[in-house]
Amino acid sequence: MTGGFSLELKNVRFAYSDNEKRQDFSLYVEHFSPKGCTALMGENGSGKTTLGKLAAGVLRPDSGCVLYNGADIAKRKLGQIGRCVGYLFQEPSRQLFTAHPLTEIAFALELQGISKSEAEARAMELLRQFELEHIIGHTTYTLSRGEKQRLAIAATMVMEPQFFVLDEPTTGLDKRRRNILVQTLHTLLAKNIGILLISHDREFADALHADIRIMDGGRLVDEKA
Amino acid sequence: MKKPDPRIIFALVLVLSSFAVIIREDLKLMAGLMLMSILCALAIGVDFRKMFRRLKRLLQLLLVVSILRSIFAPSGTILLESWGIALLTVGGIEMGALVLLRFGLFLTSGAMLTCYPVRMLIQGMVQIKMPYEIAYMISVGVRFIPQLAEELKDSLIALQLRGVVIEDLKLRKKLSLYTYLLLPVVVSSMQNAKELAMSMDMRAFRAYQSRTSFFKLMLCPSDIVILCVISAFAVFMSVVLIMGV
Amino acid sequence: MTAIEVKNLSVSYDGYDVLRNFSLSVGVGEAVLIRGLSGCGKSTLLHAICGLIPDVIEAEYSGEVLIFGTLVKSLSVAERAKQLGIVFQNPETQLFCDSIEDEIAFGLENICIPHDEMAQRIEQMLKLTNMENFRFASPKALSGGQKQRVVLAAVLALDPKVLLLDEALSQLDRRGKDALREQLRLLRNEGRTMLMVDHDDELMSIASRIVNL
Repeated sequence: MTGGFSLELKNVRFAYSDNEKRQDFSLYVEHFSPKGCTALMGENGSGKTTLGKLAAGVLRPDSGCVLYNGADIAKRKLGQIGRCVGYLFQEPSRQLFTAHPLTEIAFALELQGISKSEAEARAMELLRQFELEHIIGHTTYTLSRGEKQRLAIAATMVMEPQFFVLDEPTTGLDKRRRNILVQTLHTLLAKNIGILLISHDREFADALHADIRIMDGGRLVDEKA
Repeated sequence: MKKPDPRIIFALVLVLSSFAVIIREDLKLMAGLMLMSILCALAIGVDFRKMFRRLKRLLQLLLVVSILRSIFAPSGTILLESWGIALLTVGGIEMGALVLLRFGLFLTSGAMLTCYPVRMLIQGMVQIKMPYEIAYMISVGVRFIPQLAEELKDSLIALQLRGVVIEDLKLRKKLSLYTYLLLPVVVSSMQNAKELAMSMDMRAFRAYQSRTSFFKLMLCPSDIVILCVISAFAVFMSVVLIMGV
Repeated sequence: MTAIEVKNLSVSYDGYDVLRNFSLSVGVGEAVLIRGLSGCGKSTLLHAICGLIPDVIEAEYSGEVLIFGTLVKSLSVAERAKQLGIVFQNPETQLFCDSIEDEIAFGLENICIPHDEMAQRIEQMLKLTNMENFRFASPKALSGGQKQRVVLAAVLALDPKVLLLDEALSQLDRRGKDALREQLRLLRNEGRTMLMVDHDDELMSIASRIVNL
């Protein structure tokens, strides 16, 4: 990706060995090195989420390697990877762990030994940046889906990740909230943070000026349609 | 061969697990019971390879229980001794084996039930006059366990991607992590429960005291034979226990 | 004739107003689409129409909802199911049986339909939703779009006079959306009364009348 960070997948093979439902599935990607904003598109079951998870270190390849800035991440722990990668799940409530937006952002810092006051100051700053000050008094689980997503993104931003993987972020969002999300993601891009978007929403991908890559049957089919 | 009716298995499980609890110290009887239940489980088609993988952990339990029994209630020949304290005695091993067999019996019994589709089990419960609301509650609960597990896995990943290196945390902080995982799981369970309740409600669940069933279980002659064998076995075991043979 | 009549409905959660003095009437044979952004009270409206507020969802509420002239509150569970069928947004929490056949049978069993008629209706519904080949499949093995079609089949099996759709398309991928929309178009052409809410314009082509909320 631009701004000094590069993500590269080389000769990556992957199959779900323990999942009966996806036994026929196998993924192979010879070389994939997304830059700036890249959108992975394709039918359900084409492997786009799998590729996104491999890129974020959530799944580990059976063979081949995933490189961040040229270094293989195979031996890194997920917690270490989280310091350069952000991941937004399709269901944002799975990644919100506390009842209050401020502590939601601050607790991960505190767990790393940063003092409570400093952590909260940084959390406050992020809420401001993502224009989420109005939710401070609310409880996280009563927020709307769009707000939960943006809070999850903001919370992940405390680690100053260098790229973000977003899994179907537009599911269940109305037009207005989709536009807000586009703005938020443009802010990330402006900071030179790379984005790997997994989506079947072409309009959304275009709004982000994403480089579109298409997946089918676990392969990148390289026609830039 | 056609599997027996699930109600037959309920009876079998009931008999096996009752005796597993009733038998106190007779190792031979317990071993016989275990053999019997393994044969039944094989006949129904339990996947024993999977079961043995689970049983491996129980073997450790056997050792721990044997040692504890040997130290605190030594009996029988001493096999291993250190500074005058019996570490392992024959009596201890026997007690450990009893505990292991008892757990094994519960496991095989449970495994026999999992050989049936949930729908058949529910129907079995309903046809032995269990209120259908309860039968459905159990089945819905069971069905959502895998989903819950998946959500928990996602949450754990998300937590680590927040830059938390779980492996490096001190035990106390590690434990506090679990309280964080609780919130997403509880919130989503409550949401799922609400949505399920609405969906079931609108499809007329609990409209009347009873409901008809498209799918019905029928006892066939072989089922009745098996039921007789199980009853005879239960009577025989009771006699053996009471007479103290 | 009016199928649904909503009179001065107000709903609030914890003192937070979601709907205020809302009125709506849906005639028999109409397909009404209610459009509005998330959080404007669309789903709440459907919940109130179904009588799920305040039975399942706690909320303060005033106003009246009449289904074919009868207060929804005074309908029994069985009567209500014969009048109203609803497809919700999330397919995962609307399917809870082992097979598609069972799923369709569930509602019918609840209102004590005799066995032979049940068999007939199941057959019909499988055909209607093009799910005949999946009769004995587990819902878990289906795609999101197929799941929603099964939900539709299960709801229609009870032959409700009015079909309600609560953002039924919103969690599906393009292919799933297209297939379900076609199903709905057929139903509408048959003259089924429908009330749909959605935040996108995806169901516009089916609606005979659009209400902005």
